[in-house]
Amino acid sequence: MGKEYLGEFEELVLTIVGILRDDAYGNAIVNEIKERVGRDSNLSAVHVTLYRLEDKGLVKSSMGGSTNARGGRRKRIFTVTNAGLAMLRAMKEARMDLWKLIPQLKIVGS
Amino acid sequence: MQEKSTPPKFALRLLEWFCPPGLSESIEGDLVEQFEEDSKVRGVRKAKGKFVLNVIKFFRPGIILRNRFSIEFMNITLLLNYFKISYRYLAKHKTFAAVNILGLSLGMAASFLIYEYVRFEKSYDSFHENVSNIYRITTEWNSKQTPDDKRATTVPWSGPNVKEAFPEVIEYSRFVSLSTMTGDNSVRFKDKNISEINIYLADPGFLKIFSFPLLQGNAASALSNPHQVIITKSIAEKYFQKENPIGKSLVIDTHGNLSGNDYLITGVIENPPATSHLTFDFLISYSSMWQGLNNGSTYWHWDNTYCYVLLRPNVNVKSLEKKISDLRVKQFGNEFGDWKDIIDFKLQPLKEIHLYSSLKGEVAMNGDGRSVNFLVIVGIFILLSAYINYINLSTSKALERKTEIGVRKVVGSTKIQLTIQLLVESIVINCFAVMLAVIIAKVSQPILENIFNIHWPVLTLEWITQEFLLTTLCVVFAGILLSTFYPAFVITSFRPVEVLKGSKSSNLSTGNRWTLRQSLTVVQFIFCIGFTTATFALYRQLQFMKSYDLGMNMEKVIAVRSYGFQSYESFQNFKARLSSSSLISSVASSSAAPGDEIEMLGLKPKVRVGNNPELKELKVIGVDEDFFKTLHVDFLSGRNFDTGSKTENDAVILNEAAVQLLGYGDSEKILHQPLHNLTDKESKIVGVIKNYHQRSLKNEYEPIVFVPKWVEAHRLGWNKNYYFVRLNPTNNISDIQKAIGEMETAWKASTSEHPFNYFFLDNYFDSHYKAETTFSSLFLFFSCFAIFISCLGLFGWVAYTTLQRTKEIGIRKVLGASVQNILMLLSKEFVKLILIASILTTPLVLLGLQNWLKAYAFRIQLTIWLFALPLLLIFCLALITVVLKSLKVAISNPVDSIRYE
Repeated sequence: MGKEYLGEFEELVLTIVGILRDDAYGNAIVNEIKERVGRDSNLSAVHVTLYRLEDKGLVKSSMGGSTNARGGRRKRIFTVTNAGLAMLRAMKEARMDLWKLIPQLKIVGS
Repeated sequence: MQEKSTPPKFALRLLEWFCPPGLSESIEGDLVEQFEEDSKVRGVRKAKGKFVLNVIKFFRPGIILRNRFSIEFMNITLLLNYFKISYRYLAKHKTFAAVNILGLSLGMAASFLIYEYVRFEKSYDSFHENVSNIYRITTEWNSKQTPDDKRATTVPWSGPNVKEAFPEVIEYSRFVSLSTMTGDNSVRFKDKNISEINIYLADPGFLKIFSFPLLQGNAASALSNPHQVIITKSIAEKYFQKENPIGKSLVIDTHGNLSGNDYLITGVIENPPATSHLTFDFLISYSSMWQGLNNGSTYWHWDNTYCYVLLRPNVNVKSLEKKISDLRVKQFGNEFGDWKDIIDFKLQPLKEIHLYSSLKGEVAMNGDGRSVNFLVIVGIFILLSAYINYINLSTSKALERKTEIGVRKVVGSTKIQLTIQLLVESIVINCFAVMLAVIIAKVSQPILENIFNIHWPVLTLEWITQEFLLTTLCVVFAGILLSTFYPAFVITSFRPVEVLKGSKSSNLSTGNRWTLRQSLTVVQFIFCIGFTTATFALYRQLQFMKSYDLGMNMEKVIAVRSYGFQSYESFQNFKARLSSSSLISSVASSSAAPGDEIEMLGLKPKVRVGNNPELKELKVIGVDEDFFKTLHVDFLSGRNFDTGSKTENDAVILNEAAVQLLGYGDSEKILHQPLHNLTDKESKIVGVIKNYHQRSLKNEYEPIVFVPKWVEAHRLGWNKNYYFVRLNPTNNISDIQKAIGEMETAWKASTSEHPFNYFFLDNYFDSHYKAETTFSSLFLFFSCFAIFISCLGLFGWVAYTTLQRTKEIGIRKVLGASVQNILMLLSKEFVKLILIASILTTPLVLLGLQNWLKAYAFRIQLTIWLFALPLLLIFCLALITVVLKSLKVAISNPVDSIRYE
């Protein structure tokens, strides 16, 4: 399970869910992506990704309390699971390891 | 605050439609939130557009299919759980499961067997490719001489002339047994003598109309010339072994009736299958026939050939029948004087011959369509009865499971889930039952074949056909659905709170409401009583026929089958040799054995008496002077043949029926009257005998004239010939064997070349009731089955009710009720149901029986006992079932029963 491949957008969404903590729901994630990465993402794409992550066990969801906004509809709040955190960490480390292997001179030279 | 705008409704509805319910709320919320933001930033219109676009973007597999996948995933677990629960449940209630599965499988096995038997009977002749277009031309004589003379056969004229005149007739073939003309015959090949065979003459069209495959030879020419013969595969294998029979020559002894005796083998044909109403060993080309009976014959009285025609599809058969009859009138109308419409030709579909035809002179003993159809009803009922039991038992069990159901409901089980649970249980039970049924059917098949002495075409290789599988599947599927429907309805209608509280209203089993279960039980018993009464009546009729005073005595009479062509001298020789035996009381000869249809080489003599000009048709039997003495037939008036007198050659003896037919009420008055037309000279009536049953009791007395067999004029070969030997009264089997030994010696001495065949006359006569015997035992067997299954159901029901009322019974006993009281209480309801069933059944059975008994000329009277006895039997059986089961509770210690639970 842990070795499962995570797509780029999936990783992004997972990270954002981690950032947002208790306020990670569809719209918030779309806005956060826009704000932090400057990238326009589609709400439906975000939803599908979230469900996929849920199937993989990287996030879990629960229904939040209802508010007057959204026509009284509840939010589905996503939180990163331990598996999700482990996955994020593993990916980060893997990337760092790879990064270290790039000759530093080249960066200096450019 | 600005006016609150709402997102487009249709888009929301669309989203709700395709979106899985679990997800829709949060998705909708997010969309609405976005919409609200957008409408602030970009204006309501643009926001609406974007909302719709976003909704459509959600229409993607990741969202839509999520729904399906998850539910199916859930279902597999649940389904496995259903099976687990079913298994646990059945394992826990072993009696219930056993009764259910046993009852069902017995019912299924019985219906399997019946299905196969019926299918076999109904599949007769359907192997012919053209089966729906093949018809048999039959003949109806309208003369006043013998009313209602309907024959399976026709005149040789019908074939070729009908084909020539009507384009809708593609092909014809006449089909006539050689023995009709020659009596018994034998075939010789080299030094091998073959007897006990069926030789038929057939036109070349035979091979085109029917689908009997020709294994060797050319179908186009095999029967087209005189003196050609086709033999069956079994004959070829038996007598030619590895030789090629084609082109070989056979000698068929026709006693000079056909132009020659040498026949060339031109073909080998596949043996006629068991489902063919036509059976034959040899087929001779019809053109070998004597010219007078060949094409265009106008010997109208020789109507002894079968004639099959192949018609074009969609021919109006009724109008063709009429056209054929008219054609005969047009060609030969005046030959019969006033009677232009003397012959009506009928066309009988090939498919109906085996089961529904009972004309005079059928090829072989046909099946009985009525009995087969009755068997179908029995089969359907037995299956139905088994399912009724199943429904009843599961419903009552369901009531017992109400706590379980209540808990399930409280926990959140839906009606559908409860129904599926029942469905799964039902499937498990049904599958078990089907498997068991196949085993039961397989095991019981040889036993049945033994008991009933019939071929039971079950579980042969071709048993499992597509049709059979489909039928079984449909029946089982329908059974599962039907048997789940009612219990499911009952179970799901429980109200969980009441059930769990154990309140009275959920106790559906007691109380006076008329339930479906009661109606079903009544239906069961209606059928039970109906079958038993029918079986009993059939049995009584059979007994009646077997014990009926036939007007003669066939006990201790042994018949020797001799041959029509054998000379009278050889009989006299035979008789003389036995006359000294102390074991034998008398020896006689006759041209017909009791039970046989009387034939005289296809001749139908029409005679008149005295000055009466009206011609009447009589049957003729040639006998010797000891015939009446040997069979113990009594004389009404007049005397026996007198061998001593010269003038005796013209003497004849009539039976009562003949006297009546000839118009004489008093047998004395007809004595010494001249009888014209029997031979060239006029005959003299010397005696009248009392009627005796020449045919089985299904037939009326036939008018018969007995002629002296030794007289030259009557020496024409008879179709059949028997010697009857009456033994002296003895009970010693070795005496009988000794007598038979003496007879064989005498036979060998008088006729050297022919084999000695004998049979007991009473057995032979009773063999004409074979169909009745078989069916009565079949019905008996399956009626027992039906009763057993019904009682099984009753047993289950009583078991359940008594269990339910254990406490009540305990309290009643404490308060002073006796065992009898308790039994009364428990059996009252069942007695009521059975009484209702019997009241409903009796008129139906009465009507049915009256109709059925019409087929017998001599029949039993419908007495009250015929109905009362079977009723009483079933009543007792049901009562025993009820009492046996409830007695245990009734005599139990009330302390135990009150403590129960």
